Amino acid sequence: MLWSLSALDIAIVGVALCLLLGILVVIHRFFLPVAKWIGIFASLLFIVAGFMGLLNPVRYIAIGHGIFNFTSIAFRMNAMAGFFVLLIGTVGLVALIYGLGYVKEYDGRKSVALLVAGVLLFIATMIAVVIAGNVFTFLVAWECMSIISFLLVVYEHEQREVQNAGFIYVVMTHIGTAFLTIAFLITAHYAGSFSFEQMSAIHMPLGMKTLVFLFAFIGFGTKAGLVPLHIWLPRAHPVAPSHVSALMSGVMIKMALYGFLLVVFQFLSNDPLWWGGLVAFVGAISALLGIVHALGQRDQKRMLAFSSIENMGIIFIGLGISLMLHALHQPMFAAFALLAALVHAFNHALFKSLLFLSAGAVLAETHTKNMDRLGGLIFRMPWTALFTLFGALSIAAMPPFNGFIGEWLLFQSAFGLAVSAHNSWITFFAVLLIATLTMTGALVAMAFVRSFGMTFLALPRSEDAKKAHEVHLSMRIAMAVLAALCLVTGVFSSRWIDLLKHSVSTFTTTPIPAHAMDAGFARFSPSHVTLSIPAVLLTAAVATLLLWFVMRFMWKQTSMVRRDTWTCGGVLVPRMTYTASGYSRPIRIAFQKIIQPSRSLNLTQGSFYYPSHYVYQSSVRPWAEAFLYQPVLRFVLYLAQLVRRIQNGQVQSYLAYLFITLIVVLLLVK
Amino acid sequence: MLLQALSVVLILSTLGLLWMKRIITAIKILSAQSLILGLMALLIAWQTHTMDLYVMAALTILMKAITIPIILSYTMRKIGVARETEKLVGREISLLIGGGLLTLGYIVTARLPIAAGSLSHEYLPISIAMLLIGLFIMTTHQKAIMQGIGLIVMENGLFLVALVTTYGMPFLVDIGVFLDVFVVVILISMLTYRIDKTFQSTHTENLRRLRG
Repeated sequence: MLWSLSALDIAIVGVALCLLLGILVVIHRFFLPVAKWIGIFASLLFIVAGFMGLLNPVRYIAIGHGIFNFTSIAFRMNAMAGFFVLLIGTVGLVALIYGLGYVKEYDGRKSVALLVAGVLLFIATMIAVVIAGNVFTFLVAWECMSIISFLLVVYEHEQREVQNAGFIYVVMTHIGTAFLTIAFLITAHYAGSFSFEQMSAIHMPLGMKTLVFLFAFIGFGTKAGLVPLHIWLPRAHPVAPSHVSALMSGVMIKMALYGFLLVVFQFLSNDPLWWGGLVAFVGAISALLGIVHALGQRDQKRMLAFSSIENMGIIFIGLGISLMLHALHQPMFAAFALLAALVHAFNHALFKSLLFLSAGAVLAETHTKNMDRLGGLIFRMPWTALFTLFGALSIAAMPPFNGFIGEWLLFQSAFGLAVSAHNSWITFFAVLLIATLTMTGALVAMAFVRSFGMTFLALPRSEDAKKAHEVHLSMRIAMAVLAALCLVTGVFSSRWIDLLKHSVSTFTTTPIPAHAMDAGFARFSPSHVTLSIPAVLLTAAVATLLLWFVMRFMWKQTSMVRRDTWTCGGVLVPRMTYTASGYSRPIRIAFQKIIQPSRSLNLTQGSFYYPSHYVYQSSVRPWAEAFLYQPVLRFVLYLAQLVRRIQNGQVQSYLAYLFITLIVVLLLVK
Repeated sequence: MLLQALSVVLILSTLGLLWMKRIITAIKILSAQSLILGLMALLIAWQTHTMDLYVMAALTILMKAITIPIILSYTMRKIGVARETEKLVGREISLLIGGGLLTLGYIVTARLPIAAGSLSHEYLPISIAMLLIGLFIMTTHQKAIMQGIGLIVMENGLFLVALVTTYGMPFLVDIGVFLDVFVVVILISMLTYRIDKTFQSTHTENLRRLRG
């Protein structure tokens, strides 16, 4: 029976299920156990719908017709939407499974029902965003998604930090939505229709196109956390419950990617060269600043949030390259760069969710996100450690994990841009992008060596870390699924890319190079060198075995001997180990102009000559806030003070305003 | 002819409100003003043979000329006899501005394409001046009860506009407006009483502290 339904029907059924149960759970917690399992079922439906949507052609349905043409509710499915439904379904499924165990953390302290309902509604609204078929549905779903994610961010609203984060998030997201609404209404005006089906490659004046492009870039850039609109992201993502963080960082910011693709690639289509340049430039800045800031953080989840900014930056570099190649009339390479960005987006969803989930597992056991207070957890939480290692290797783009594939494709796109342009400035720009990607990659590797090492290796640096033990089974299953996906999609990358390749067909009819994993394009690599990850892996495994065999049996080397760490004769204590802050100090010094580290050492006990207790403080100041937001904020407050003088609380003056207005109007009206 | 005489008394009474020192006198003038308005409505009803207008005239006299002044003076008695008005602008200046507003009424209506000799040609300026003076009273007075009086003057102005341009608004609308005014007066009386109880004065200056 399932097979007679289209992908869109299945997705809508899933959304309806999630919405219904979310509301029922809010009404009465009796529905809580049902909701958990139905939610998982709905996520499976989304995965099925995603696969079907990727592989099957377009369909469009309108569900409710409003009084006006504008307010009708309509959904549609195409390969691109299918791609994102698959992404949301996969991460949503895992987050829901993880939630089964993780909500025990809040049992008795907070309302678990609200959290479960929130997650269900959150997933449903995100699906609604990607299958929305007209402007109204899209904006409503978008706004619902933002508001529900805001409510989830302020779940632990009794903490001051959470309140601040929630406030900044809700302000930023509404500024973004305002820009989006304008952009959509302008496009709809020129398209003469609100339906997305009729809104492709619209003819409109270049000035209007540029305006729509810039507004969409600002609006979706806010959601994607691009610098300098990112300030909400490192605040809001860490304070949410961990599986919500995973959904937000892994999936919600990809909604911005989807929206941007929809507006810029579908609605506007042909574009001037500088659009792509701008997108790639902002992406590059976000990538670099994101990862540099990530290295300045001690808070595990905040570090991951900054890393999300970095990854969104990388994805937008890919989009920028694609736009530039499109403007340079290289449709095949443009499609390839777009594919690279999408592949990286999906991979990022997988490994970033995994890392957030494992950070949540550590948080649940040790009750701290501060890496300086962790350590040695690999003996106490071996499974979590293993899965985190998978995630860390993936995000650091180590083959054979999937992170490598996305970045590899992105590098190829950047090289493609460098060689296919006949303008030396563009080549120069492309080389700079490659340099940015390289540097970012190196810093990411460092950030995750630091994150994994400080959390799981060495000795525990606090009592909480000593008392930790392995987490609930459902949480381990969730992490295992993601870790396995990271590995499988990495090893069988050509299959994986062949599947995702369908999504690009929404925007371009150009065939992508048959085997996307070809090292270099046929045109400028005569030898058709191909890179097959399974083959490389097999070779490496055989070589290792051979080496081991040679060493063990031919050179008669015995196995290694374990001894205690040499401490110059002293006793080994946890304080001797490297801390996260210590490890990243070179970065803080090298980039001190950007992250502005400040530190102070104050003597609190003992005399100057015989100190017994010191307090050392070190912090980093976010660059964007100091130089961009503070001046704007001051200006707005100044204006508000001016306006406040009108508001003097005297009844008579309000009446006087009315009186004067009335007389002026009477005199002016002809 | 009679109508013209009445309208002169009407505008004089309105200007008189600006000159008054004691609230009780102001209430009496308001009552007289409403009575004149009612009589005008009656006259127009008689001339045009409109059934609705008879009812409206009766209601005006009953409500605005009798009931509302009684309620207002009752409130005044409750909070202490014959308080003086307090204004932000002096009496002389008020009167001058009142004259200015009357002129404004004529200037504004002169631009409208109204046939000479019609009712509205003669009385529309007066009604607009009444509206503006009512608003002016609300603006300059500091006693809460005077704001109520200003509102009723404005309402009277509006009623006159409707009367002279279209011989009254639709019946239902008029009834609704009457009800509104009645409720507003009761509310203002209660508010005045409460403000007086709380602050020992009906000065709206006391409300300043309510702002955020």
